[in-house]
Amino acid sequence: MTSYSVRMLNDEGLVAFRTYLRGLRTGETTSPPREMLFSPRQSEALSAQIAIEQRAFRSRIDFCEYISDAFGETPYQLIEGNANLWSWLSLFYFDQVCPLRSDGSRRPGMDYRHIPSRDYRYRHRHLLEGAYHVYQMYGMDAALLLCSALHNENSFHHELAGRQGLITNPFIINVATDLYYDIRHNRPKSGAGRGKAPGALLRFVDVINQLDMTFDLFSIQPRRLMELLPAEFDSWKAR
Amino acid sequence: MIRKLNYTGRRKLPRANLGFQVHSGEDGVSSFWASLSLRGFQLPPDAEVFVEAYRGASYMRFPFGTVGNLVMPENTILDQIPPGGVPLFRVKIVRDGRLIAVADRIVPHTDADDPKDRLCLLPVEFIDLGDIVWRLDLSEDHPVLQVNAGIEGIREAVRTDSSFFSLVYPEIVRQVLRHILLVENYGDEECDPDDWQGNWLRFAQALPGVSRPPSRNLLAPLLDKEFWIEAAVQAFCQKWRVRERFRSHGEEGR
Repeated sequence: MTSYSVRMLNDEGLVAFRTYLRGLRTGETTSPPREMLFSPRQSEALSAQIAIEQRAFRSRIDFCEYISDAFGETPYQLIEGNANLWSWLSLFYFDQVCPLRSDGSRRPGMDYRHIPSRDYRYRHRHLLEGAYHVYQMYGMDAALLLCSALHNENSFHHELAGRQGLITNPFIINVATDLYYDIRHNRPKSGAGRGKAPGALLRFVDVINQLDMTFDLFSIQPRRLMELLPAEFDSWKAR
Repeated sequence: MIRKLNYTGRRKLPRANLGFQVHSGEDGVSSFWASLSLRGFQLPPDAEVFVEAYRGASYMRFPFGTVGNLVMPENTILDQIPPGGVPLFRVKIVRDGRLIAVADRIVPHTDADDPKDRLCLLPVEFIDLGDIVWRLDLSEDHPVLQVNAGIEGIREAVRTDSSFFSLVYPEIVRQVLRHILLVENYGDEECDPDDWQGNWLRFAQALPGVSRPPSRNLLAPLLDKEFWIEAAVQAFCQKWRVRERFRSHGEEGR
């Protein structure tokens, strides 16, 4: 498989990428502007050598595992928060972060899914950088949040990763994984991420927020936290 | 009168007893210094003290010893908080996993603040804003002045430039007060006495000639609030001699 040196989109490249995304939203069906990836006008070399391949990923965590290996010992400052680099990677893997649909169209969603937002409230929504950030914290223990396809931010990532009190607490992520992750099938348990069903994800967020008023949840071990959950969560523990 | 019930039994620490100062390093990574005064609250001496810094989805936690033996950690580097922004702080007093007392949403002083200010009403963030010079961010827990870090000399301009002060700060006062009174319809009779809205209203009331803000009563005409806000902006400009500063800056430049 051919390997490519990772680069960064420059300002002109970012503008062009945004224009392309806007075009897709208005129904255009043109191909991704892949020529920008290696054009010195719209992209530039990274100061570190990182080689990647154009390969298919089963899930976001699969991508994270791969890209972490590819980054190797690259200084953290070159990767973390480098919007130009992550935008380049989004364009490089565009067929996976924004796959072609059967009618020939693509649905890119908001720009921040492909170009990291300057607004930190949306920063974690970048499909690649957001996943990588969670992976950096939890590694393979982040499977509940990152088990979806590369173009799909699942409800667990959506609800947990945007709340600093939840995503930064390993005990909470551990308990959520125990409750809702189906290890045998490598996916969330059926119905766990949807609606306000008893003991499902949205109730979990509500209850954790309530417990957070009384307890210091960083001092509470997962077992005790599990015990503090009301009976409506019992059915998820048993599954 | 609206009463607030406290079912959890945890106590609230006044923010005035908890001071934070954030310093920006040359590499963009910040560290902080904290001054915690926990005497007089009858907290158990063996209860643990934690300081948490957070911004957006980023978070860091620092153990500060116990109530009876406060120890500031050697390392207070905020390397997990995105550079350029101002984090908020939370202080927790914890015993056996339970929260005994807490203070949240503490706005730190930053290098860009006037060190003589006792209370930090408006932290300043230097971030990438594209082609925008400045903006007021009211989307988070408190107002933040965001300034474009990509403009050469902007940090110094924020601190000392009379033009920047004259053109930007009165508009900030207007936007913040409009947000408090018109968007949030805030009434200080029902809110936390030291939340940011209360601090801003007290700041405005302390300006020369400014009366109490119009009541929260929905029947109070919108116009009363508009007039009050404009009066506060005028008083701010009068107190800080904004017109004179702007003119003198122009004359210096000729």
